[in-house]
Amino acid sequence: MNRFAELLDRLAYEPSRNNKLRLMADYFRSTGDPERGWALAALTGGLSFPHAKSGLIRSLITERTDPVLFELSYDYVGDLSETVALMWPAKQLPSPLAGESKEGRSAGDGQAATSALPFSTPAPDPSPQEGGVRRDAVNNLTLARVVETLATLGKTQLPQQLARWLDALDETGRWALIKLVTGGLRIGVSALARAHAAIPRIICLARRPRRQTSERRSGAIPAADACARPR
Amino acid sequence: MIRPQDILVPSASGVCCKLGGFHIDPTRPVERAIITHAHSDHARTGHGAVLATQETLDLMRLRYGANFAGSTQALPYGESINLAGATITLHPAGHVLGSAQVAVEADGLRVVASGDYKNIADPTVDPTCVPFELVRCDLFITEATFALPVFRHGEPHAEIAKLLHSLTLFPERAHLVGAYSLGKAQRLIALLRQARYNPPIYLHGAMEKITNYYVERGIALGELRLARGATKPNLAGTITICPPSALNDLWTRRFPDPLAAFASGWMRVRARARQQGVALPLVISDHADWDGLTATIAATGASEIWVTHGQEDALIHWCATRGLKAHPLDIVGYGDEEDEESISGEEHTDNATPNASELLLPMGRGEEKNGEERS
Repeated sequence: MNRFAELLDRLAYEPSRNNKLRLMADYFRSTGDPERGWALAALTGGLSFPHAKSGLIRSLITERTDPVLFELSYDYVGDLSETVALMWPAKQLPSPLAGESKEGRSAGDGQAATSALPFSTPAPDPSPQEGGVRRDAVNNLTLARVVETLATLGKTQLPQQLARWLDALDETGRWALIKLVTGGLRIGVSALARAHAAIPRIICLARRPRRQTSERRSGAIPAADACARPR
Repeated sequence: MIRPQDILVPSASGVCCKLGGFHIDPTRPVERAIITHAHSDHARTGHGAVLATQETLDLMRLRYGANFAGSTQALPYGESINLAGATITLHPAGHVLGSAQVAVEADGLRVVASGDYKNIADPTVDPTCVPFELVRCDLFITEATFALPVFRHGEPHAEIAKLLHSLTLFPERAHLVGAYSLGKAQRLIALLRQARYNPPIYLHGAMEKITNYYVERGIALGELRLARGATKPNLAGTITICPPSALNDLWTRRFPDPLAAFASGWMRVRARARQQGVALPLVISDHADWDGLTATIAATGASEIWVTHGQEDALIHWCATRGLKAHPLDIVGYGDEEDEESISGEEHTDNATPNASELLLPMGRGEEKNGEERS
């Protein structure tokens, strides 16, 4: 999931169509099945999850954050999925100080354990310390597992499952997951893929060994690009 | 019993200590100023006397010329001086080279003005300056640049890996990385070297003097070249560090298919990155993020918090939920280093610095008029 999230992240910023194709080719080349199949379906708008609505996302964040801080943040960021992805409280590992953090949680920002840590430790930021644990969880969470789980999950179980995944992912991963399940990827790829029949091009780029592709100069691109144009 | 307000008071031109007769980071010329760090929204010219760390004084001299103040006095970290009953000590702020928090003590009461700070104790996260040191105090004056819970800066090493991955994916494109020319640029280079990126790194002319100063202070940055000396084909697949404002400048035309990256805490928010036309946002910040600000405030033990420049509302709300007395200081003139970068336009034309090839720094050491100068 984190690799797919990285891909979405890059695609969202990359304005050039050819460069979008190169980014996708790199992903498809280095990702196995069935993961990349689901990724292709997601990118081309072939996946939808009827129960996951932005209202659900909003209620999840309301349970976890201070309403004033949420409104200030939403106002600043301007996008609900992104605001939720960014301010989702980092999951704290159980620690001897965990008890002290309860009061802070009710205050709403979920960062109490951070302030409870002794400041003189080499890394006051909690993420490096729990990074190993969290990253394992992220690595285990594949796009395939997300899609397959959501396909069988009832509406009532969905909020809890989403929250568990959001706990395990980093900012980019959370953003990608929320965009994916609420159906708002908007990275300029689905239309591109449909209108320009780019899939054969992506696949032929992905089949080439990495070195050969990466050493190609821009001169070689127009020829390959021709197969991505509408006929 | 003395109150914090008796030590420091907010004034129109910055925080003022009536007792000691000085201002901290004044935004207008004053008689006596203590400067926390050399970014131009905090360090201005025209003060009568300036007290700061040696690095800050040197950097101010590099930016403004030798006559930036009537007289100067350097105060090393951890050493104290007494000004009319107020004891002043500078502590590392971990923001940029030479950055300091100012602790002012009188009658057993301690006030700390943080300046800008980054509360990371791990020296590998920023090899270019002394890490932040926590100072317990009664009143803490904190910055609030990234004081919204959406700002979490994460690990800079992951962002560096993103840049290096892009370089292997697009080896024919020049990667331009926008970075503030004092602090961020040098930190970025040091982090790239830490990640075993050894090829020469190219610099925009505006970075040259300050980067040389960092090298002179013993910060290893590897092989550096000026972008203006290179030909277009040679810049394919290279990294060039430039001021953020240069990313959308005609200057970029000399690069083959330039890819715009930007290293800043603002890059956490997508709209911000898109507004600037950035294709590769790198979340690397020299400021404390939300978790850092709140953790630091709590750890100082201060019962009263003053919040300067930034997103004051959220931090003041947070303080209120913790039972801390907090209020904003509306000092006009503090901003982001970004504002400063957009006015450094004179450096954008490459003829601005004639001796392009020599990486030598003219330094005017020992010219301080003040006899008390310590080195």
